[in-house]
Amino acid sequence: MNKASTTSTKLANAGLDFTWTNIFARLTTILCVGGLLILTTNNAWALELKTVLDNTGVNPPAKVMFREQRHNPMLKEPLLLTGYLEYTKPGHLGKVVETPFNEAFVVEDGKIEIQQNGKTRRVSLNKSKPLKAMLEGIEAVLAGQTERLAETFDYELTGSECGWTLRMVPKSKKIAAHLPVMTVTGSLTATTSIRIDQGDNEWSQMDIIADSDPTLDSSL
Amino acid sequence: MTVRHSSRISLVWLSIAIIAVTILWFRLQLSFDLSVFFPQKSSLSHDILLEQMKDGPGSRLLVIGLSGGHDEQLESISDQLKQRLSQDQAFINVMNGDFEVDEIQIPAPLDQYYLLLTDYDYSEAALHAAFTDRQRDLAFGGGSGLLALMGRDPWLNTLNILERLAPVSQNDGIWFAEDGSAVLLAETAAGSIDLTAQATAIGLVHAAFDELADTQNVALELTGVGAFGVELQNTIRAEAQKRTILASSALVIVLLLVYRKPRYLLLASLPISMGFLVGLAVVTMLFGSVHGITLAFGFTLMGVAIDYPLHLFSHARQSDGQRAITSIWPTLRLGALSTAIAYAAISLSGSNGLAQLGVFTACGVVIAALVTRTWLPMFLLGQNSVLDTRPEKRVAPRLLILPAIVVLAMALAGERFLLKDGLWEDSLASLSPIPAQKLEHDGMLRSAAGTTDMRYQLVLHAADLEQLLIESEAVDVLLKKAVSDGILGNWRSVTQLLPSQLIQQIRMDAIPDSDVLQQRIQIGLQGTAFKPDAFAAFKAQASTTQNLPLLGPDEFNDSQLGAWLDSHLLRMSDQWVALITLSDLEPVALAQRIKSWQSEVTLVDLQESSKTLVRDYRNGALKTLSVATIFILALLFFGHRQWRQIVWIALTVAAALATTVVTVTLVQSGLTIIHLVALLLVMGLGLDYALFLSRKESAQEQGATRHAVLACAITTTLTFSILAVSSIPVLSFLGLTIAVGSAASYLLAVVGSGLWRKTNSAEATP
Repeated sequence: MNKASTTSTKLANAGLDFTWTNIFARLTTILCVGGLLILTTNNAWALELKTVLDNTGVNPPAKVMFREQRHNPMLKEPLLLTGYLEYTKPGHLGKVVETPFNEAFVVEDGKIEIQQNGKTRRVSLNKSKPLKAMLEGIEAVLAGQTERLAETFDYELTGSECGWTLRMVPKSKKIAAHLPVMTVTGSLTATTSIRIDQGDNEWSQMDIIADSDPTLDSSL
Repeated sequence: MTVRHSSRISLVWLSIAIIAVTILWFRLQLSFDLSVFFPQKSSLSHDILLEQMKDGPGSRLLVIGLSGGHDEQLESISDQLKQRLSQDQAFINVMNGDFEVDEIQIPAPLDQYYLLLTDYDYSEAALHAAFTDRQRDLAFGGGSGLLALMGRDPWLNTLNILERLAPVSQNDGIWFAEDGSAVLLAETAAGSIDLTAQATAIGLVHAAFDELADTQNVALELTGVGAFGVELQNTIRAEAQKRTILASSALVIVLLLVYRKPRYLLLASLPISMGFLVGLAVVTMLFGSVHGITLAFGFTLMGVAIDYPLHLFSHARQSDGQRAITSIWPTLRLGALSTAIAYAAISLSGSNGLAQLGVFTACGVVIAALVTRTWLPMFLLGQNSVLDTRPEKRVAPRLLILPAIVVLAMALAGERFLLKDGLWEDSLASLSPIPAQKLEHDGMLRSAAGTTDMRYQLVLHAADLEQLLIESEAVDVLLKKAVSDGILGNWRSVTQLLPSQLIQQIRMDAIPDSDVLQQRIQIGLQGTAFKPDAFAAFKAQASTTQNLPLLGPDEFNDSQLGAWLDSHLLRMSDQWVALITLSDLEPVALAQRIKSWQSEVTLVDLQESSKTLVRDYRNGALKTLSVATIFILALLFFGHRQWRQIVWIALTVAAALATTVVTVTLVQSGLTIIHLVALLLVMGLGLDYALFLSRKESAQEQGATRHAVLACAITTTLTFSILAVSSIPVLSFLGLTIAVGSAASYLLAVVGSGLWRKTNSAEATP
């Protein structure tokens, strides 16, 4: 009996089926599993909020088109809006509704300016903390401001860099009572939708139109 | 005086004291309601001023400042404090600028009557416009609070009404002052004059703050009328105690140095103590309660009664008590009666508070004189071995009228040429001991909240409430024009919350029947995304409103809006009065505009009203005192029948008063009511010194009189000088006036009586 056989015999006596084939199979399995683990682990490490938002964030000036549906228990069908969001400078966020009516909201310096029916009103955002939190969340996502987002929301990021979902819940219970959750989805390079749940069957989903150029239109 | 007689007298006085104490024990009630000192008869603007001071909305605001932390920390503390204090019944309303639409609750009766508080257009077009606007709002964002409101009030007029009624600006979020302090306004249920309730409210604020977490580096500050009042009360109490101890110690030291008999300290306190007890008992019987100011000022005014035992002690040094009092009693009696007349005159000055003060001091002075006459001498019997029973020649001093005339003329000239701003300070602010820095800080905190300017108000009055409300609605229309013309920023009137019955009925009649309204709602909803029943609550409320009784003041009794209504709708005797508060106005332009209106509305400047109130008060008191002076002169004449002496006394006292007035005005920039009260005591002191120094006396008596008057002048001047340096204006006004007055009265009396000369010849009577 040769040395290998002697070794096999000893191992066999130890209760292991120790053939070379099995060794190879086991090694392969170990490598695959390990590799998969490594790969998966690498992906988990890679799916950090900062990374995601850095990839998808826009630098001002920027403008993106949107389609929005607003669901409300008072409405018989969702309100469908189209228009664009503009981010002209840090702290300045605008939402211009073009259909079915013309309306514009501009958020700046803690106030929201509402242009409606040819009239302009300025209202402090402090009049509605949930609204303020919502707009801060949206700006944080669009601008890639991770720390700012983390100040106001507890979040959960799932998926991959190519398709991620960010679920945000306000840290303040008082705000969360009126704004239970905001859910943002996106791709590798852009935010694709923002869903805002306000409780009591009131929610909205804004889809960012994929082919809109996230750079400022010179006409603005 | 026999022992039996002495015992009888002691028994009488002790019995009086026991009766007085018994009355006080069972019936004495102390009051701190300042309105007791307000004039009983005054103009409507004065009544409104007094009402605003007592219970106006501005006066009930506690201003809370939070400083030291960063903005978010202060915002959090501000919110928490607001929530905690809002739950306490001591506060009607707590605001911090945070007017969250999501948290809004429409208070009663607004929640039921809002359709009658403003004009609603129930046409299909108007409903469609409202629904379209609300749909646009939903594009912006709703929230459950707003949705519920929207469903009941498509125009959201209820929000507009509530925002209008707020006494402050609530458009910019949590208030922050220029120095970075977060600001809250807490409207107390109790008026600012109820200092006990204010102190309780302040305690609640501190307790709520202490219970909060994360406040280690945050400081809490309270300002506002109530806070200042409580602080003032504590400060005055502490300062008065300190000054009283110092003044009493000085009095004790002087008396010991002058008389060297410790028991004289006890004896000297007997007349004033008895006067205090009996005077207080009389006031308690007559008025039911005694005001704290009556006690404080009354005791001060009774300071002249300290002089009575000193005269007795000085004259008893070379004699015995009974002979001494027999000698000085006619003069002392005249002085006491003259002083009592002057003090009694105060009670005719037109307020219950001054009536109390007058009765208290007049009774006290008379009793003190009687105790000095009948009781004190028995304690001085046989104490002196030098008893010269030989009748001595009594001579009248050679009274020099010229010094008094010269001094009086100089004082009047000084008043004319030196006091360019006039004699009197009519501003109530001059009485305030609150440091200017604190008042400025209070103003800065309030400005962060954009509080309504309480200085200018429009006033309407009518015998009938409905008539008043109709007139107020007419003024609303005119004010709307004034706003659009830029003369006025905003206004708040009672009819914004309580329209006239006429208007309410018109609005009620304008509500369509349920079926008709339903039809119009359905037409109005066309072209919108709303469900057919989205505004069912509005339809239901419209139907309910048609069957409601019309809104009246009684519906606000249990409402948090009740306090607002009470501060804008007053009942004064037989009149209803509506107050319209104004913001951002141009007073001159508005006053001119009002003249062009055919309305009974009056623009009242509360600051100016307070000055005229004080002025009228003072003039009334001066008139009364002028009449009293005539009575005093008449009394002097009946007491002496010596014209030269009476003229000398009158001129000496007048010169002393004039000197005091000029000196005090130069030092303290204008006389106030407090100075007037102090000048009464100066007059009493001046009469006392002048009467004694001008009477016919033997050489021995002259020596005793000089001794007594000097002792009186030193004790009075010294003790009130201690008050003169107090930081509390009221105490300092009293102290300086009386100290200067006492010294001037003494010097003028001594110089004018020629006592500084060795010989003093005049008539001699055996």
